[in-house]
Amino acid sequence: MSLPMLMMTIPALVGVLVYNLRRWIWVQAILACGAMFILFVLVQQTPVDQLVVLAGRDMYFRSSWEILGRSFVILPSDKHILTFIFVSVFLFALVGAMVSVTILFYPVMLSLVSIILAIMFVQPFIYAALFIQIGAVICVFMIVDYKYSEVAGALRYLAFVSIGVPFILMAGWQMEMYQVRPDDDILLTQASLMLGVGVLILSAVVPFHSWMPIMARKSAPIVTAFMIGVVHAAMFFFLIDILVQFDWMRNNPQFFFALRIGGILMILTGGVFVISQRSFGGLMGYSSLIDWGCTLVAIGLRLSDAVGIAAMIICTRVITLIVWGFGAGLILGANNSVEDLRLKIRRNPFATVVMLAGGLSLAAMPFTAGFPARFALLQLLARIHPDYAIVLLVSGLCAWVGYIRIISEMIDLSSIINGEMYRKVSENPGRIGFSVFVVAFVIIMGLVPQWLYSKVSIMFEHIAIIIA
Amino acid sequence: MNSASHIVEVLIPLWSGYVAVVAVFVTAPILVIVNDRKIVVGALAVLFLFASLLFTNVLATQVAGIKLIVYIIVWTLIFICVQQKGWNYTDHSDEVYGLVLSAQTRFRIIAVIMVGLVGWQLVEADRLPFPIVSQSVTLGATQLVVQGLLLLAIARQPLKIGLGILVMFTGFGLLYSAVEPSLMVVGMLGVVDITVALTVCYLELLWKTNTQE
Repeated sequence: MSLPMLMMTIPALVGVLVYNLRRWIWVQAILACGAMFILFVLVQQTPVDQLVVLAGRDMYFRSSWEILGRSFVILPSDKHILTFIFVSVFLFALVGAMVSVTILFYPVMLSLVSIILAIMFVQPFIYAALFIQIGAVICVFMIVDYKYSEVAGALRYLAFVSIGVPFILMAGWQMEMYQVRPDDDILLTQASLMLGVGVLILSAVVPFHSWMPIMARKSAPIVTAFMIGVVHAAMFFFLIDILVQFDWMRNNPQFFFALRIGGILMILTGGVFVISQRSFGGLMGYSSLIDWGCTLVAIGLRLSDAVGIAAMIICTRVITLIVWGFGAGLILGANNSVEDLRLKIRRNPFATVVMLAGGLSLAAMPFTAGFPARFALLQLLARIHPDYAIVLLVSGLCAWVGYIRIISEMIDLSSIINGEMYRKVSENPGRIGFSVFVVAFVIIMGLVPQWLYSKVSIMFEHIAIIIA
Repeated sequence: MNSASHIVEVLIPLWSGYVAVVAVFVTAPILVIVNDRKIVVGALAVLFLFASLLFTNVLATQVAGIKLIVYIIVWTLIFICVQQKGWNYTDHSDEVYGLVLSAQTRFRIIAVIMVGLVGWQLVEADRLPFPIVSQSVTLGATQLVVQGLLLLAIARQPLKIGLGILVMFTGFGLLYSAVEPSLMVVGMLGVVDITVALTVCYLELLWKTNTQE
């Protein structure tokens, strides 16, 4: 049996099943979580390319799957990234059942897991570009529905991915030509250029970033969180795959310079716009942009320590986005007026605190999960590129100011402090308990980041070794 | 050889050269400039037909036939979507009063001419990172890419943005098929075209609901 085939078909089949059960949200969530748990066990326990006895039968799990002349190959280094994806999707599926989601969230989420696996496994890698395009198309059905019918974010995302994909395909062809004519360095230069441009567009580098804040303002919060936290991370894993596969790309200083500049542009743009945001969604969108900029800068530094920091940023981002998505999913509706929002905030103080904890963690507020990695990056930048460090520091401060301003505008702090707000809550004890747990988790992760760092830094260990 | 295939073999060389390029030069700008859905859907049909003919220069006729089938599916999806949504366009900002064109239309005409010149110069100056199979195919493909990008950039309606993506992919497909003519790639690009069309129809119909409210 082929392990890649098994791993790609399980979520797709469960997705079809879940589509037929879309009236029962908890059944969908349980099935999605179950599928992720099975995949998690498979990736952790399955001995690849070895004969094993399973329930009295000889089983052989192959690491590759050949279909139509192309192959899907699972590498040992993929194990940790796959674990990250399955755990993230599991958590999103769980939290999605507690909040407002779009009607096709679960089926599309499961199909996207199959697509993300295909992007990671497919050989030659240029076919990943086609899967990225198909993934972007599928995402649209999750982002927009009859309730969240603002199409601008989904259209921008689709348009930008569609612009980026041809560059990857062109690069693939030029690399093939280079294998035929190894003396022709122009082909390699052009391939690097095309690949670089394609990857930067897919990474939502400015000016291809606008889908992020639009989606954050207008789409279902947990869907936006999933898009920014997991789907967009798949593009980053694609970049890591490229760096692992091609030594000429790893040894290209211009490519890393472009990553750094792209990242700094994202941080700068995020900082400029985040301060003037008037909605929690907008704040989250631009804070995410800054956070993704930090990830690109970390990889662009081309240091093994920085790669570990990038892994930490990606993981804490998923945690904080899940927390934000849970809180915001209970507070933010499809078309809330300011008064509606204030009323919801007054009635759901615990959900409000969860949303703020997630948002502030994404903005790297001290004592939250997002802070340690951002601080480590800042320290690293202060030594190597002090100018970048200043930009990052100022943008981070802008995000904090944005949050402080919107908190002062939207929330009656005096009623929280004197306890009046908590006496009129409409939240049930289970939700309150979960809210307290997630906020405590975010704070503990901010105070004791070593535990998480030791787990996530191995995700990009292979690239950290070869990049240094 | 039966008579139908004989006719096809005679007609394709006649229509797949500069005639197809001229058709592309005329229809792609119509998609950008005009907002009337009847004209847009008609122009799309002509564009897809002649793009399929251009594909016969870079792919085997049978494989180009697959592209034609894909475009027929895509066009049918778009047609059904527009029929559902209605053929009238509610925005009157581009109405023509006598011989006076609206500012939006004038801007679009200038933009189409400018990007058209850019596309033409890319081919003339040999700046493309693709091998040039034939001048006519490359010229037509480049025009499709640049006009598609323009449509993507300036349109607001989901339908027109989707058409921009499809037109851009058609041009890119022409260039890419010259270097990667495998059936797998043609098939995958066809799947991408159909899924993009489906998505655009979905967005257009939801956009309708949103704007009507």
